[in-house]
Amino acid sequence: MTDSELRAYMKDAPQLGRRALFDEYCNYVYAIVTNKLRSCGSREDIEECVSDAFADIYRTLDKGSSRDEDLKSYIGVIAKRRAIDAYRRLASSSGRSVSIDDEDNFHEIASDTDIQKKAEISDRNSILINKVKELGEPDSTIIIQQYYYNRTASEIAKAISMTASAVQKRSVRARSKLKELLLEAGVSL
Amino acid sequence: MKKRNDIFDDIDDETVEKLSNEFPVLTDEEKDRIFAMSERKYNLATEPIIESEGDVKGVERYSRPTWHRFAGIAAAIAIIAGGAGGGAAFMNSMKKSAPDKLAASEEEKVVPTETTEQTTEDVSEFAEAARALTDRYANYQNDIAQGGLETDYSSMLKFKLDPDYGGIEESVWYKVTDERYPDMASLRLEFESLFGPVDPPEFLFGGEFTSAELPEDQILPSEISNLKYMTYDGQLYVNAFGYFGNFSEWSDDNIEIEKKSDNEFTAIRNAKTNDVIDPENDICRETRYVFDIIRNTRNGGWLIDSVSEMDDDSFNNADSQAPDYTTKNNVAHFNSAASAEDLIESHLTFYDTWLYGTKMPDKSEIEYNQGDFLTFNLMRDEVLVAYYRKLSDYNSLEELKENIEALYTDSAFEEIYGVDVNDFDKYDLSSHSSGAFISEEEYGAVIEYNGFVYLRADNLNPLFKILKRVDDDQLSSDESLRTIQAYIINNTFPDSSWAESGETTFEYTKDSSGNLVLNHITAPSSDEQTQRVFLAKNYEGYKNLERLGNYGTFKTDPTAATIPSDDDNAPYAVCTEFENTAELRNYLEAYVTPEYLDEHFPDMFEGEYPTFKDIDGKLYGKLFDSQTEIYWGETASPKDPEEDMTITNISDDEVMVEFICHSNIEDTEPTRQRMYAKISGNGFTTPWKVTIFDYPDAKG
Repeated sequence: MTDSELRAYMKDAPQLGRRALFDEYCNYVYAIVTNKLRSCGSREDIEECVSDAFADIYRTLDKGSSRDEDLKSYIGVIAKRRAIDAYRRLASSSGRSVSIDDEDNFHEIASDTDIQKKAEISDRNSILINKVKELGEPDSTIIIQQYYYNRTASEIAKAISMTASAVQKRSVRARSKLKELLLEAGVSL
Repeated sequence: MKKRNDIFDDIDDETVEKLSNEFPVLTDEEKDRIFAMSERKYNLATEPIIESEGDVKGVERYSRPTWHRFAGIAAAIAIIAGGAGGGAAFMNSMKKSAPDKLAASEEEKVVPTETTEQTTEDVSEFAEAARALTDRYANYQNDIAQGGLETDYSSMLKFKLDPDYGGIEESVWYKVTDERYPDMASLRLEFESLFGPVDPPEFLFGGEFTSAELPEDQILPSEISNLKYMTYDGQLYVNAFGYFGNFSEWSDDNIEIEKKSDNEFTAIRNAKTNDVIDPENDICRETRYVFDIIRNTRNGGWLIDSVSEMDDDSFNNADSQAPDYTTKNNVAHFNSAASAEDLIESHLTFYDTWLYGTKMPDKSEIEYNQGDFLTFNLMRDEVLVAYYRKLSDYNSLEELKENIEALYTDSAFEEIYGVDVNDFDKYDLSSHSSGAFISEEEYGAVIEYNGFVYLRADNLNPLFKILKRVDDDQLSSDESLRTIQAYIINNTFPDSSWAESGETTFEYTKDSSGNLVLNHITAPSSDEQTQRVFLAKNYEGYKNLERLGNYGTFKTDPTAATIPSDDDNAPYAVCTEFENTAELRNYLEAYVTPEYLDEHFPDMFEGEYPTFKDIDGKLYGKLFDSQTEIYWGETASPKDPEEDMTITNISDDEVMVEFICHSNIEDTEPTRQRMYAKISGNGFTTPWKVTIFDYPDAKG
C-alpha cells in the first residue's frame, strides 16, 4: 500500500487504516526502538515504546500536519524520538549515565570529523550485514534475532521451525563463522 | 538468558531500515498485542478525561496490561477434562485468559482488623450474606460471564475472522434484549456490586464501536473478537462464542462458612461445572468454590474478594470420576505358562493390552470412561500435558509386576516395551491432583495413583513393533527357540495401521521356579513392508543421534551440578538417558554405521571437548540449553509410512529412503529428508544401518 493509499484508508476507515499503517511499519518502528533500548530495556519496555510511538503517529496523522512528508521518514523520526525519551527514562531509573552521543544521534551532522565517523560506521555496518547474509539461512536470521532483537533460542526456534537447541548450536557456530568472515574483511568484533 | 550483544552496538539508521526489511521479527501475536496497546493509548489520549472536580486533562491514563503467560495451561487441562463438550466455544475461550480469581485493588481492599479462632464460632451472622452473594455469583456466571442473557437471535452481527484464528471463520454477535441489562454500564454495575470496583476479567466488557468504523463482513481484529460484550451503534451485543469460567450450578443449598474476622469470612459451596466427564451419561465434574468475602466499607454490605476452586483430592480423584467401572476383580490374570504356545499367546495379549489397552487378558473388550484417564502438566519449553491411561485390571503395581514376571525376563520386558520393571515403584503420584504440575522425575512410564496403576499414554517413546497374531510356528530341536509367522504393525508414526507378515524368533528360558518365560524376541526383515517398518525405526534412531550429537539435547537430572567446560562453551551435565558412553554408542550404532558416526559426529565422543564423556562413572553431555528439552518429533517429521516414505532399492543390500516431513508449525511446507541405509546383519531393533542422511530442501 502506498503512502497516499494509507492516508486515504485512515481517513475513510480510521481503525482499519491504523491497523494497515501499523502492519506496514511495525517492524520498522520495532527495529528503531530495539536499536535504542536493547541495552537498557526489557521486551515489555520495547513494546510499550513501540505502541507509544504508534499512538503518536496516529495522532499527528489525524491532525494532518505531515501531509506532504514521506511517511516512512516521518514515522522513523517519531519512533526515534519516542525511543530516546524511553531510553532517558529507563537509563535514569537504572542509574545508567546518558551520553551526549546517545541523546544526539539524530541531530544534524556537525563537523567533518562527524561525517568521517558516520561514514566509517556506515561502511562497517554494511560489511556486517553483508557478512551476516553470507552465513546463509537460517543462520542469518538466527544471528539477527538473537543479537539484534535479543530473542531467546526458543522464540527463534518457533519462528524458523527448528528446535531450540539446534538454534543454540547453530548460533554458536554461526557467530564464530561471522567473526572469521568479518576478520577477513578487516572488521573486528 | 540474554546474550550480551556486542555485534550490533553501533547500528546506523540505514542499517536499521535494512534489518527491518530483510529480517522482520514480529510475530502475529506480538503485532496484535502492540497494536492493541497503541489503540488503547491513542483512544485514551484523544478523549479528554475528567479526573475530578471538573478538571479536564488530556493525559494518558493507561496501565500496562498483565501478560497472561499461563493462560494456555488451564486450557490444556480443560480440553482433556472437558472431552468433546468444548467445541467451538472452547476454542474461542482458549484465546483468552479467563481469570476466575478477582483481586480487589489495593485502595478498596478491606484490611481485617481482628481475627478469631475458627472452632465453634457462631457464623450465623454471615449466613444470609453468603447465600445471597453465592446465588448472585451463580447468576453472574450464567448470565453475564457465560453470556446467558436474553438476546434477539434475529438481530445478529457477523464479522469475518482471521483464517488463522483457531479455525473459526466467523464472529457472531447477538443483540442483548434482557431488560435487566440494557447497556454496558448496567453489566459493569452488576459486576461491581458483586466484586467491588476492581478490574473485570480482561475482554469481558468491551468498548463502543460503530458500523462506520467496524462494518460487518470485514475481518474483526482479535482484540475485538476476543471480547464477550461490545456496544455497536449504541446497542449492547454479546459474542456468541467464548465464555468465562466453567461454573454450571450449585449442587445443593449447603454453605460452609468460616469466620476470619467481623469484616471477613470464607464461604464454601458445592458446584457442578460444565466439564463433561462422562458424555454418555451426561455427568459433569463437581467441585467446591471457595469465596473470600469482605465487608464493603462504603455501604456496610459484602463483596466477593476472590473466588477459587478448592484443591481437594476427593474432587480430582480419578477413581471418583469412574462411575460403575469395577472390573478389577473379574479379570483373568496371567499365570505361569504351561507351554510355549501358552506363553506366546499370553505375550500377544499382554502386548495388545499394554499398547492399545483394547483387550483384557481374557480377551474381552475394555470400555473406558473419562475417569480412566489422568492428566498432569509438565513444564518444558511449553506446557506438556502428561496423559495416563488406567490399567484397570491390576489392583497394584505389585500385581502388574507379578504378571509381567510370569511372562518375561526383566531384560526381555525392557527390550520389548522400553520400560524397566524395577523402576515401577518410583512413581506414586497420589499426592498430586489430576491436572497439577509434576516434575520431570515424576514423569514415569508406569505410575501408581490412589491405588490404581496407570500407564503413560503419549507418543514420546514410540513403541515400534507389535506382534498381533501367530499364524504358524515350529520348535527348534532343543525346544528353547521357536520361529513363528507373525503379524507386525508399525507404531512409529502415529495413526498408521499397516501390517505385514514376517518371521519372528522367540527365545525362552526358565525362571527360578522352573516356569517358561520369554527371554528374547528377534524379528528379521523379509518383505517390502517389513523393510519399511525397520527403516522407519532407523529414521527414529537417526533423529535421536541428531538430537544428541548435533544439538546436545538430552534428559538430565536438574538437581545434579553441572561441570564447567574449559572451552568457555556449554557446561557438562549428567545425561540420564544412558549409563555411559559405551551404552550410548551401542544404541547409536544399532541405527547408523560406526563409520558414519565417526565421520559425521567426530566430536561426539572424541577430542578435547567431546559432546559426551564419562566423568566419575557417569555419562555427561554438553548442555547447550539447560532449560530446554526437545524431542525430534516436535519439529518436522513423516506422518504416514505409506505416503511419506519412498524406498528405492539401490542394490541388494542398499536402499535410499525419501521422507516427506510435515512440520507441526502452521503454514510450513513439507520438506524432504533423505536417508541411505545398508543391510548389516539381523537384530530386533533394525537390520539396517544408515550410511548417509541429508536434507535436500534445507535452506542455506
